[in-house]
Amino acid sequence: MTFLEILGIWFATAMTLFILSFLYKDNPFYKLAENIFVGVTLGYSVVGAIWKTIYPEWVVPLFSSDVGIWRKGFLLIPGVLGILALARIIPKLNWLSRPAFAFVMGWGAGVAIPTAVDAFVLKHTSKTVSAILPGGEFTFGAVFTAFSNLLIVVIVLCVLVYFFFSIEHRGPIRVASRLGVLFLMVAFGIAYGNTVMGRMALLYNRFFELKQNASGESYFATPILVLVTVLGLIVHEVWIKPRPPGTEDVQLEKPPEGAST
Amino acid sequence: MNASEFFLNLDRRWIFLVIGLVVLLPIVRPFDLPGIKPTDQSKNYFDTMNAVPEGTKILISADFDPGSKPELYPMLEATLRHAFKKKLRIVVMTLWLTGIGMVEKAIKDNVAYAKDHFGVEPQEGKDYVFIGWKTGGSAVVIGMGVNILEMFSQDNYGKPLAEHPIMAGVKSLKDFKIVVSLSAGTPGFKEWVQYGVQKNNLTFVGGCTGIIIPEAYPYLQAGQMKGVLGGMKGAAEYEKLLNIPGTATGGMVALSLAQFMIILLVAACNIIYIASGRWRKP
Amino acid sequence: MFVKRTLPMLVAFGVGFAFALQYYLPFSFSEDALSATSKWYSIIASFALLLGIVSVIQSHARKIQTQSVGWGYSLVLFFAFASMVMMGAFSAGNAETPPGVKGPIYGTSYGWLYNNAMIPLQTTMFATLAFYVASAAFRAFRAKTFGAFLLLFFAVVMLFGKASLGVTLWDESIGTIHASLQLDRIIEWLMGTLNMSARRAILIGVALGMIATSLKIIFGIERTYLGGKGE
Repeated sequence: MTFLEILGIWFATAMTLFILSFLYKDNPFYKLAENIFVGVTLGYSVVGAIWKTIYPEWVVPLFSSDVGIWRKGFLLIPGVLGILALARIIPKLNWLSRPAFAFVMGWGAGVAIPTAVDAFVLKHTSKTVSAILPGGEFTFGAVFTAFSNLLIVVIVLCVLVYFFFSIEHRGPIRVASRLGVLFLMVAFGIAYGNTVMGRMALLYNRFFELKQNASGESYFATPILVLVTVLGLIVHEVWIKPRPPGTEDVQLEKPPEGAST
Repeated sequence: MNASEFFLNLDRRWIFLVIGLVVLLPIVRPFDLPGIKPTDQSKNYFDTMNAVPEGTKILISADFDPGSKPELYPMLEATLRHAFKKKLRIVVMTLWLTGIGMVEKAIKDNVAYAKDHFGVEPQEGKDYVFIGWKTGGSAVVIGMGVNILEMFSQDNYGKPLAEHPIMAGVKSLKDFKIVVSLSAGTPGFKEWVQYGVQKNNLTFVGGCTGIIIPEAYPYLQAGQMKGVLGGMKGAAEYEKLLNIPGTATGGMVALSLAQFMIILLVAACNIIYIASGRWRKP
Repeated sequence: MFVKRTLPMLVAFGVGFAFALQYYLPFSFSEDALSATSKWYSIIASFALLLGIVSVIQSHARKIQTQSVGWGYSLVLFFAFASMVMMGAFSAGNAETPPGVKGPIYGTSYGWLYNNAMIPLQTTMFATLAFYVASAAFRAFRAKTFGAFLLLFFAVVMLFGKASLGVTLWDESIGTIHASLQLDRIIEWLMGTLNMSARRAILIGVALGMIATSLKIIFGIERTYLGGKGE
């Protein structure tokens, strides 16, 4: 491996360990890594905005001799609006940015309405009411499918009733609303089960890379940097962290007996 | 303080340590667990991709960032390998700015993989092209639904897109036989369905993180999505169906152990809570 | 007043109304207008993205200027930002060398920073959430009500069903009674019926809310995007 590749492995391992050190306590290593993360992300966004959209889609055609005058005029408008949008940072000139944001918001709102109606409201309402009466052979499978389809209709209606706040939830509406809440709890439980899988996958990946970077080929980056991080945290805790008189670490008090958590 | 109070007020860093060790164990000492069983939705994804003949043009939109890389990058790699193996013609893009670099690497690595393992030599511009990213999210999907070359005048590396042979006869999304979105959130498969699939009547399959897989099911039932891969498990199922090893399969042991640990923690919490008598108090 | 307030609201109304109507007019001129305005949106949004970044840079610059607490970290931020922008400019925004061009195995210098700084940092930030999920599972997930019990019960069922070990244990015990009692069938039913219905109701509710908010923006009832202090 080249020097830059090895340096890259060491840097990546250090950043990973610095972020993980937050699990113990907030500390300077974590703050350093966090600010590097914010810095590189901002830098990446600037590069992407300019080199992937503004330069190829606006600057290049505007100064190209192959592009006609009408096309250049057509492209000038969003560029001017975009530059005026930057006036938002100057409070006195804030009003210059309004036409740009009005265009963006108005266009976004306009295209959203018919697509939401077509793709979500109409499509999903129609698909909710599938055949409830079983067709064909009267088997257990067919009956169970019909029951499932009926259950879908009931659940969708109950949850929609729960979210309908324009009428008072009394009588049958209250029953439907309460059922809706319970079905939502079922859905959130299912979501939680999937969320755990997602988060653990991320953790596995980081640990796997740390293990890969512990090899001799990487000059034992992981164990050395773990040692450096742990020693650094100890030094920070014991010697460097200032302790003005009368300002000991605040300990969270236990909640009193009987208090709900 | 009695035992139940002690456990209910336990410093959470002990729990962090336990979960860290559980995930680390199968990495340090690998062992096998019973095999992966593909679900119906993974099979639908695989079947949709497998049904198209050689030379078909498909669009892959890798709508994720490094935060979702462990779950969606294996899906992207498996999809690219499947497509290269079947000699499909692939247009790749992303709706997420911070995903551009990962997609570049995935294409580069898997073109090399295809050459080494399938005996095919995908040519850039003829068999595949990476058109990159543009600002706008849903506006990009809307624009592509009418005229792709208006939205993407160049590929990711600055070459005029119209000059690539793969784009011959491709004007809009309707000219792709399959559209794939591997999404981590917004913009993602929801925007593809709302602004792309419904209007253009596309054959659409998706992959998503474990967190948002429950949100994909209404679209599956409505027929707006033909199949979906869910999280790292979905990626592992797809790798198994393809019979091509990938990075997702290796993580399933750690995932299984971690999930069992969470079940134990939830059970322990509730048992201790009931044993402490707190559940009786208002 | 007209230019500062009324004109932007007229722009929002005109553009919003026109493109709400466009969906139902699939003629070539309206499709071309849609394509053109999508591109305009993309270009304007790029400048708006820069605007957001400028705001963050401004706040950190102020911190350095006043030397307030933690200003050293702001210097680190600036250094990281500047490095990324310079390398990005040098590599024309490409993390890998373009196809057909010979380059180092790790890609471009911009790609080096992307692969060794951005990816590990962002992935690890999200990975730490795994620890908090586990901590919440032990400290906070108590079945105090029937609803909470349902949530926990189905969460445990999903966790069991998503683990390959859990699937095997179930299938080789209860799953042997009938094929429909196999755990993956049960999970698929839970996802496709109970979960799907609740999610669909949320989807329809969100879509109706989206329509209502969009109408408010078009008709000028919702004006917070204009900013300013009521000028």
